[in-house]
Amino acid sequence: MRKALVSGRHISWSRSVQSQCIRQQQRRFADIAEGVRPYDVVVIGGGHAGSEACAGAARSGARTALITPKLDNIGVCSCNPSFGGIGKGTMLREVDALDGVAGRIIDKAGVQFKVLNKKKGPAVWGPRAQIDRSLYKQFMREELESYPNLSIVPGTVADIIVAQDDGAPASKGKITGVRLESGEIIPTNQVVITTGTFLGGEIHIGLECYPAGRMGEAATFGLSKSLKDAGFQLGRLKTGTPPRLAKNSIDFKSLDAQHGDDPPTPFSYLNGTVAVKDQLLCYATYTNTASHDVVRANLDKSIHIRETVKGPRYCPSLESKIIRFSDKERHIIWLEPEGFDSDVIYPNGISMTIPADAQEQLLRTVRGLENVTMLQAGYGVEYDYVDPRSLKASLETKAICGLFLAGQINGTTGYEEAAAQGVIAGINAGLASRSQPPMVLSRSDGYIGIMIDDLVTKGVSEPYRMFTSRSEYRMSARADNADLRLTAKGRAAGIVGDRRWSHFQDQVSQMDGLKAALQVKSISAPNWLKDGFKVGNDTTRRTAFDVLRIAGVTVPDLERVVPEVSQYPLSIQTRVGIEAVYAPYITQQTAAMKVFQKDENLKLPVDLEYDQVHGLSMHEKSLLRATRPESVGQARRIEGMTPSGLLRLLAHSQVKNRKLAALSREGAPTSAAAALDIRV
Amino acid sequence: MAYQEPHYMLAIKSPALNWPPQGHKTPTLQPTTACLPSPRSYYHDSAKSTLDFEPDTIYALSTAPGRAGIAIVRISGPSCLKIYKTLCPSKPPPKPRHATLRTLYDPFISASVSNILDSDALVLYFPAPNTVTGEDVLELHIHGGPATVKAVLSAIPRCASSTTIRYAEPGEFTRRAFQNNRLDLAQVEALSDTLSAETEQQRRAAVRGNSGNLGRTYEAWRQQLLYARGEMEALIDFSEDQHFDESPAELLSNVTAQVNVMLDFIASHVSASHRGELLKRGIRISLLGPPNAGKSSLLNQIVGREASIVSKEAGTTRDIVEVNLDIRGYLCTFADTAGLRTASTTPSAQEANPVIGAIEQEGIRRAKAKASESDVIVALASIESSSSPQGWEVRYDAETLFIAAKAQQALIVVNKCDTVSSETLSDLLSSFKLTALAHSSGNAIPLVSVSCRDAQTRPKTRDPGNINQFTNQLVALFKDMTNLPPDLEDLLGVTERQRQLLSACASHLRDFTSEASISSNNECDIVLAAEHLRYAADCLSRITGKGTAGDVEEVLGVVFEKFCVGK
Repeated sequence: MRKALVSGRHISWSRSVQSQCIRQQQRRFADIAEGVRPYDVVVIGGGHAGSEACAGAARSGARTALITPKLDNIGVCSCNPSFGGIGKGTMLREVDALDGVAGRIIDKAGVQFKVLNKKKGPAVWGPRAQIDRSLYKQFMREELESYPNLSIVPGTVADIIVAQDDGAPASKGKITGVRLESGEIIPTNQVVITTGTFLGGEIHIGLECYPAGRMGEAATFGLSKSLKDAGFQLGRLKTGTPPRLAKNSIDFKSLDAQHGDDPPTPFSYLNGTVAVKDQLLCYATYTNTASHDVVRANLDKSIHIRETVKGPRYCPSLESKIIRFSDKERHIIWLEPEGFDSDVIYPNGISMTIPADAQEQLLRTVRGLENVTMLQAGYGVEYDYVDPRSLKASLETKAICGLFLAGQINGTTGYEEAAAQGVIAGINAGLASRSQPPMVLSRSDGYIGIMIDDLVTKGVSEPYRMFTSRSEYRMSARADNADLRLTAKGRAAGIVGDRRWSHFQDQVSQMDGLKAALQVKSISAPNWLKDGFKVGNDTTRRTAFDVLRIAGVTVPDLERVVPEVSQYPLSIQTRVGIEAVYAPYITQQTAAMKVFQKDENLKLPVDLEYDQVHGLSMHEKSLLRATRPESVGQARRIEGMTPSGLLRLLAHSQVKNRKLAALSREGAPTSAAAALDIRV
Repeated sequence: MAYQEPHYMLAIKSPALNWPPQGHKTPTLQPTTACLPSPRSYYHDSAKSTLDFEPDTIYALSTAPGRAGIAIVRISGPSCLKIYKTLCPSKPPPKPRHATLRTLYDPFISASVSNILDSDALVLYFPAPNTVTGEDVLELHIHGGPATVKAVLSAIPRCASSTTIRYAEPGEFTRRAFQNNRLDLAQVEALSDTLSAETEQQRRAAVRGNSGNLGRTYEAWRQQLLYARGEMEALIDFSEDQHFDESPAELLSNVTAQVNVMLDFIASHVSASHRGELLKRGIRISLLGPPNAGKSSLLNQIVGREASIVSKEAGTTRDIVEVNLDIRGYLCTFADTAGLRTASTTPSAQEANPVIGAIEQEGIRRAKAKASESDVIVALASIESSSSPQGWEVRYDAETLFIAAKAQQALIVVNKCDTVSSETLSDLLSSFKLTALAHSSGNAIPLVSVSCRDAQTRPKTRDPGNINQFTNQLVALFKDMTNLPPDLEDLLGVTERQRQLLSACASHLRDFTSEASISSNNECDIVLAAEHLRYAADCLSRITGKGTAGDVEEVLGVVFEKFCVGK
């Protein structure tokens, strides 16, 4: 059933409602039949990228449709029942800071919450949650079904409809709609494809191999063909998932338990607490040489391992762990609960593709699993991805206007990576439908910016996963301050709702208040020493804010010196404490960011004819053709570009622009020339 | 060839020690806050408040390098006037856009004749914004000799400034001009030619890519650093939920050991590559040998004036007499030392004067110390009458020969060759050569025979006393010591940039080790320590041109090669 096409359209963020209507009317006359009311944005796929994309587009004020074959599979977690971790957790906080949905759903569906790296300093804290699979799906579906501006349309998309666009020479075409397998055409100008592993998907168990996107679900082939026909470079990647175990067949008593944090830290900035009261436990066990022998004996019976398609180095199957690290005598297995009422246990760490009977044999060699019942065998998936260098930083394709890609289709892996791309692609599809400039996150804005920049400038050679080491702004882009980095930016783009905005402003004003109180209190070293703070005994006066950088000093400790501290909740105290520790480094990283930003502001047209740029080497030309950078900054990050090559590129595009500008001054003024002006 | 001067490194390091700037009260509470990382895009810690952001001041040699009559050093950025004030103390600021004649002084040498970098330099000052880069620009037109250019280039970054002063990156002046929109259409179109020249210079630097020994050395260090970083990053990103065989403490001490090895490599590289430095500071030469061999006489012959007391009584020169000379364009410092009379001196010499007094002993100790810090050892021996069948022998001190063999450069001089016939002399010399070879464990040290007496008494002959030949030999040594590889010798500017980057790299590595050594009880520091390694790697990748576009994939490659991580 299709829901109402227009549900409570938000007009508050629209700059000019009237002009918006006029534009939409023009488009309607040009593109589609009279009488059909088109969606502004269509999102294909309801996984983690799709969920965030449709919600993000809807928040921007665009009338959005989510098209998915099975309503039941909205927000499904096809791999492990957990979200977050080191780097990934920070990315989820960033999605939440942009008013995304995942963080709030996790807080409702979580069964165990734990911050990883707690001993290593806030810069690399990694919030993680085990979730109840069915609750997560249920809450996500409820959330999206009641989301303003969003309709959920059941159906399978057979193809996208692309028209040649004569108006924009930079593009080969533009989106005019999508065709469902039923033959029905849904007109729209903005499409976000989030098909995950379903594009040309193929499942491998042992020597068996059949087309499927996920166990028991059909793969998608039409889209693959039309993307190929449109000139996109497609590649193959593979991933895998472990077998599933029956909880009541496991002997947990012999295993080490892992507890959640007390109190648990919620994912969403909007939440002070999480729903779960009695957190569930995870357990650790290990493989052993007997298990490894089973794998070795069955290596010839796995088609997945013998394939040349690239799998991830950091999420290897048990087979590749044993091949590559043959001297390791054991590998850890985390036994993770799938939910409060679920009888399923997810054994994290042993994704494998050997035949099902061998998998069961292997499992029973492991301590605690001697009598285990295997509910479903592990399997490998191989799927198509699109070379992400064909994307702009907005996640719109360079070749087709109005086509956005997000999630595993861009060569990434992981729920968090998918959600983070989804929120950006959805927001930008929505903004584009309202003729507003895209919201682009730079590397210095956070992990989402890092990931997208890596994807669009470097492409992928294996499934891309986030690590903190990927970020050169690790000390300023932390899990605790994603809202400070992104919420105001999102509000300016019109995609942060009023509730989040007022909550954010309240947090900021409290933090500012406490920080000011700590900075005003400035006393001499002997006085600090008298109060028990181990400062160096010199003539420097120190503020209470400075003293927080002494190892072991926390904001609550300062209450006896700065009584105002007690007026602020502990969460605010903790946040200000972290800010104080990193304050000197942040000042420096801010300076680095500004240097960095200068090159980002030197824009390059993506349709440059690189062959016409005098003095570029053949190698540089081929690198540029593969990536088509949008700015000097992006071009700089392509390995192999030389400093002089960059300047030639810049000189060439400037000459072109200025000639255009001169022409426009002489003849009829065109907005195209002004828009192309790359001067800062 | 990059070279490094120890006090220079301290000068570069000092902004970090001064951090934070005045007015921003930060106590030095603990090492954690005292050692701050510098941002990725800087070579050095920038000593400034970044709230009112100012770019680095950059400078470069902008004329074609080589032995031209004139060299132009261009400086761009907010610190131009500060650099002017430091190089030209007590002079009024130059009138904008007017050529001004100035003497440039070294800011770090106390006032004397030797602190002049260049007399009669032409100084031009262009205030922002109507300049080639859109920033303040200072141009120094100086005399084109390599020593002058080197001295000026190395003085500029030491000038007092609140912002970083560093050598320009390739093409950076042009990029700033772009950023500030300072190029008109014609200039942009003409840029291609400029770039060709600039690229040629960069290409010839020969360290982009893997060509050249130097490039290979830097790349090897970068690779080594990748390994160290791989272990650090594994610790941060995976040690929590993955099973590692090594404990975090083991990994950290492992990385620290690797970094210390790298620091040693860099230090030895720096000391081995101070050839260019010799030109500026002067070559240090020690005259060593048994008493009365004629060290002071030889020195006097070289100097052409009485530089030290000459006496026939052994052990007169108990203290060290130093004299500065210009020998055919090379600046040298000769040290005339006390005669070495050690247990190993030839028996006849021992017999002549068996008692070594306390004062003489002290003189000998000082002579040895002096020798150890010299660039060249001149080992003296002399022909003396003896009880041997020939009636003559070469009197030498074995320890002197031993010291000469260990020195980087050495020359053996046999004095008093006028005392015997040429046949006897050639017999004596050929047998002495074998003796010398035995004492120097197989190192053949060049040998010259001279006669200081002939030089003094028969000045009209073609080469009195063979002193001229001795000088030729000495100059040949100097030439060998100061020659840069041919592909580098004209690239003074490029080497200055490398030197700064290498020094910054070492300083980040030291920051790492001090961070890592205190982190045993507070794991928070691991992240800061990892950032120090990232900054150090950045410096190396700027030299080699590899990994400038980000080397995370390489680091992760190391992680996944070494550790079995992942779900």
